[in-house]
Amino acid sequence: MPYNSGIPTGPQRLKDSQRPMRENFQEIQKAFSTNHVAIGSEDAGKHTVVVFPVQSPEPTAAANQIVMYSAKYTNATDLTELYVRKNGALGIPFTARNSAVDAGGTRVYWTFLPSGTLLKYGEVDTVPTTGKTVDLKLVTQPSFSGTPFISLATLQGTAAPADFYASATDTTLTISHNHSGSTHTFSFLVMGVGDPTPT
Amino acid sequence: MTYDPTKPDANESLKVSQSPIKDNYADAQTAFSVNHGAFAGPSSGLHIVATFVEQIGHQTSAKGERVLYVTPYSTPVTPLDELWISRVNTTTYTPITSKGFSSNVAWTFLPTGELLKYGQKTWTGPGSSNIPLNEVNQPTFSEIYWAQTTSNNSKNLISIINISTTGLSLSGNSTGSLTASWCVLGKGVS
Repeated sequence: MPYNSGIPTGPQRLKDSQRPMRENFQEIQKAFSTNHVAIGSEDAGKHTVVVFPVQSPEPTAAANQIVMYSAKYTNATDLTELYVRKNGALGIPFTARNSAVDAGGTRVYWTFLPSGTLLKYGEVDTVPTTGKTVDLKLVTQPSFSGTPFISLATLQGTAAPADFYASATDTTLTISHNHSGSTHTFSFLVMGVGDPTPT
Repeated sequence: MTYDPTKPDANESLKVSQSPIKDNYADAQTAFSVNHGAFAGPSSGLHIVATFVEQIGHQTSAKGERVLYVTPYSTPVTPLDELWISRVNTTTYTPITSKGFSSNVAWTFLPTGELLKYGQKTWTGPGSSNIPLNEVNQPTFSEIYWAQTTSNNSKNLISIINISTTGLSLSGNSTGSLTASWCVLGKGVS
């Protein structure tokens, strides 16, 4: 039965209006009982859960407002993700995470914090003293807006300690060490402001 | 027209009550269609979007509840509206969408309330360099859980020689310009 805000009509008597009015009340109750504490309960108006049907196009936020919604993160996870969006900014898909393998065989993982900070991390193996580069701008991944703020690396395994460095741009991470004659495995973490638009 | 839950009056005839009843139905429909699937539709009651309008001050949560809301974060130099989580029955509030930068330090929060501070430091070695973790106009730490550093410009061994809620000291044994990334995770105070 449809909700009808046009009733009762002028000529109707209450016995005629009773049914459509009750149907309206039932629709209001039904709608409000979905995701919300039931009308008439102590916590009426509060949320039991918030279900976000997928949206397209994505909603925008007015001034002095922040919106939360779900949308498909096309070409990145290709899943429905939960976004948070400020006025004048892109939505941040803060439930999204994924990984891909670059040309050098390194799997690069990524995820967002709700602030829009992007983390890319993983493990790169067989790093020679001449260094090894990791692709930070893989297709299907969000990228950094400018040079990342930090690039951290940690030597893995039981190999002899070696001095090393990690250096990142918005497109690549390079790790190198001075343990002559050996290759090593490193964990890495690169962090900076992210652009959620997939490369 | 204003929603009037007292309508209709008992002594009113329907021809008199008609208009306020219709107004109430229209108001209910208008209000609920904002952010929600329409009455009697396939998404009735579900949230198309959740729009958080700026609130004045922090919102408290009762036992067993968590609250999401928007209010300005006044600690940074330029306060912006941020989305906050209010934790169960406490006075802990976390601005989960906030982030900031100074010349020394970048920072952001995790939804758990943990604070990440991180950055890149350049100094002349051999020797140490101090990084403040308690700058004004930034959130601070009440406890430090973890820290890490890595050389960024040469094959050096950079170490953390001291860390507290107020500062971090890095050291390198090579001569010349040293640059290192660092990151600290701990319990944040917004």
